[in-house]
Amino acid sequence: MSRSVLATDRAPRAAAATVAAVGLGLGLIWPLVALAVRSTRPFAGRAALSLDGVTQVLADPRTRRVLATTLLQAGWSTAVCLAIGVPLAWGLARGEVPGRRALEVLLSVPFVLPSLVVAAAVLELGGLLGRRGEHPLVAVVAAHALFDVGLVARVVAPALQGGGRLEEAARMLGRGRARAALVTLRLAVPVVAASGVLVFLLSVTSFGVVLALGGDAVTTLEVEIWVRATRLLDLPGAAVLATLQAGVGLVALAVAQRARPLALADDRGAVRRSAGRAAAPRPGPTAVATWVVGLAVVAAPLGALVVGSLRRGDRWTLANYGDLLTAGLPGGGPGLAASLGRSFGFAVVATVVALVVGTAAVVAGGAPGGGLGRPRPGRRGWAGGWRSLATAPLGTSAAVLGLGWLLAFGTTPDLRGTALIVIGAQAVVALPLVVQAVGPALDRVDPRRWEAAAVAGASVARRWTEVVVPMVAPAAVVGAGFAFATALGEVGAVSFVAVDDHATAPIALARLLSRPGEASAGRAVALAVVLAAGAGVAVTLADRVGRPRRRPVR
Amino acid sequence: MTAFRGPLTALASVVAAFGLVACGDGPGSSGPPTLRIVTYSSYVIDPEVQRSVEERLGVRLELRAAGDAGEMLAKAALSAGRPEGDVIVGIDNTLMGRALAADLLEPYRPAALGAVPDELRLDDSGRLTPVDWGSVCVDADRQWFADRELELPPDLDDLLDPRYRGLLVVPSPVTSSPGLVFLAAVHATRPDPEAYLERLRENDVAVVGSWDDAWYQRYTVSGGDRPLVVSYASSPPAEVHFSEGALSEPRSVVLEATCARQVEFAGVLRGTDQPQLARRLVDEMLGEEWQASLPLANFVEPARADVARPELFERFAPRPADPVEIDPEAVDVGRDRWIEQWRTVME
Repeated sequence: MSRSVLATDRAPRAAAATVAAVGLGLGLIWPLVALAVRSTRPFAGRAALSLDGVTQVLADPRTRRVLATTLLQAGWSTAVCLAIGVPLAWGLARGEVPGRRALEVLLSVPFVLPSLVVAAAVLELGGLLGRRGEHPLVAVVAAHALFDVGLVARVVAPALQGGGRLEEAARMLGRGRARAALVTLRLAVPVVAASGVLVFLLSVTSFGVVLALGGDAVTTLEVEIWVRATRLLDLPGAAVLATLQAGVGLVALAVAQRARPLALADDRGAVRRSAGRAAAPRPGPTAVATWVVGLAVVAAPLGALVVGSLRRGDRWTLANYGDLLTAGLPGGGPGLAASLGRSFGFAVVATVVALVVGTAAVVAGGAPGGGLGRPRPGRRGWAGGWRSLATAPLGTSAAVLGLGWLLAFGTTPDLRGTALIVIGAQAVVALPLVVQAVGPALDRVDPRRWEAAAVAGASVARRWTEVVVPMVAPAAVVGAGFAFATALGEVGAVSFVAVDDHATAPIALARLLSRPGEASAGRAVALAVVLAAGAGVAVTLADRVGRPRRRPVR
Repeated sequence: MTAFRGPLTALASVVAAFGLVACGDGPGSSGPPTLRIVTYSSYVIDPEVQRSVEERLGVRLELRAAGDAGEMLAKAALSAGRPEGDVIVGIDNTLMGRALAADLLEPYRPAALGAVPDELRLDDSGRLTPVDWGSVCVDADRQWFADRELELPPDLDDLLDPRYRGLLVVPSPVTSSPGLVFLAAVHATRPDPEAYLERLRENDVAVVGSWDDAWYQRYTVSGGDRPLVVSYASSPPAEVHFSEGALSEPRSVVLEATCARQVEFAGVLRGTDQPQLARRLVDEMLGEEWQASLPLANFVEPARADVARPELFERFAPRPADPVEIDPEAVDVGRDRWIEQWRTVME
């Protein structure tokens, strides 16, 4: 490789680093620093952050209990999601499943469901088993499984697709089909780890379902931080615990990033997806099992939801849907239909922002030619650093992020009450989904192809569009789909910065649910159905538009 | 990769179009000044009252509502001195001490304060104006108890009776404001609050995160498994009102001896650039029109004693004869310890 090739490679990487730094600096770092600085002054009659205070919080036996509960809950949630999600991904990728696209879309739907609705579904399920509300931790883990199994299945499936040369080679060498398939499975470990870390972080910062199903029995760090920040107005305590939570997230990320293909790391490029060429057709038991598991995961909450939206009191009715067009927020606020439209508009913009900043963060950490997404050993820290930083919002308490945003954008410029602050908060929360989908995909690009293209005289831009984009695009589409769903369903941080005029549908939903009466509950459920359906349609559209036409990659 | 150009262009134009919309929907530079009310997300102003107040004051009213009362206060405290609005409403007697300590309000005493009973006027510094009150009580599923020929538990002590084992659901005082009022009532009335909580737990009380969870998920009236719920004295009229004709009688009944008073306050935010208008808005909040609209807008009682209640309230929302009065100072001093104790007992 000539010097000039290296030199031209630096330009896109520097540009990416700039974009990522600006995005993350504005959306994440500045708000957190602002809040940390603020907590060093007395607040609402409480003492300022001091070294004594820090040690006191850390030494508090409650902190240890809360930390233990957090790890236990998130660990179980991750284990259960992977245990169901990875086989499901396998089925999707290899099972010749009829109607696969439809199942994939269905699987991304629960992700946007309001936590209260998922909590209700789990309680119903518990009631059917005669165990309603009896095992809070089990209920919380079950709810997280409902939320996130689809995420695991969809993020992992592309990595399991196709036979791959190694698998074919293994079969030619006389390995059984199962042993040969194991080769692909082992190579997919980094992607499984990436999806696992997403589920883990989502479970750590999960708020609504933990509150609804856990009560006081399952107090996680996220809940404890919210309590300190908004109940006790104990900013220093919240800041210390938020740092602790961020630490948990960073450890999880570091562990996931250490995950490497289990076999033949040097040949990982060979397991490129051979597009257009699927494994030997094997419809049958796998396909059936895939549908059964997929439907069991999705149908339970969705079915309950649809039924609920069609009932008011003891009657079947379409009134809940009719009301969406005419009714407003309680008390004559903006209309529900408008809140839906706004939600989708905001989420589209937030997804674009997240896609740009997220991809930039991945590229900044390691660009083609420099060892690709996974850089040479000496540079490892940088890639890990950028990705961790861009994934950090997922491990950051919504209360801390929301209050930080308020501080950072509350004076100059004063963005309080604008749409910009809502979209920004959504984009920051959606960012990790892009990073964890795009990152592993970029790692799987074969450096030799990049170098070959460079040697053949292809320009940097050409190399990107011809070598990198086709490999990364499917993952980016999946990531964008979930980023969109996250932005669409986000209430945590957004609830701190959204005002009536910009109330999104999930906020309207929470508002409706906090009013008594069957009419508002019915409208809330109908709103949830429309939101879920909209997310499904949006993800399908993204899929159709974004997935490159399948053509042999040579 | 021409396949990508089209979608990218389309996305770019969506972004551009959206940017225009986002920038274009701010308040216009002409027209009446905007008066902003900072509150929690479920606070409601009756639309007709809003119109007539806007007309009288020559302003446009805008709600800056986000989160629950605790989140509202945390946000307002962080912006003390450079407030997000002009008037705040929704600070209750359990949050009052924190709000005063955070120094986010300007003193103002409206003339109509004279019509408000003494027991609601809890702030001597004149910064917090009581605008409404409610009662946090145990509500019961009337039919459930009738079906089992079980008599309703008369007061808080009866909740410890084994006959009512496993029947009560409480929104946690750690995360919910009616829950905190309930806990404050236990501390105000029980000689040994810790022992009371321990026995409540032994009697299998269910604790959930929020009022929504308690009412919608666990209360038998909503299809749950608990026929007793810590809620409000105004929940029965709310049931009827929000059923939109499906119910003529509430299914819940209020256990009046369990009630404790929750008072909500409004105040002028320190640092507002329209202090005159802000004061006039607080006047309006204590005006007869606003006060009379409160029951059906927010399901609370008007602070003024001389304002009539709607028929629905007269029929179904009892005004407990002798509610537990919560001393804001006691809450302020005790809160951290109470919450720690509650969690130690209930976890």
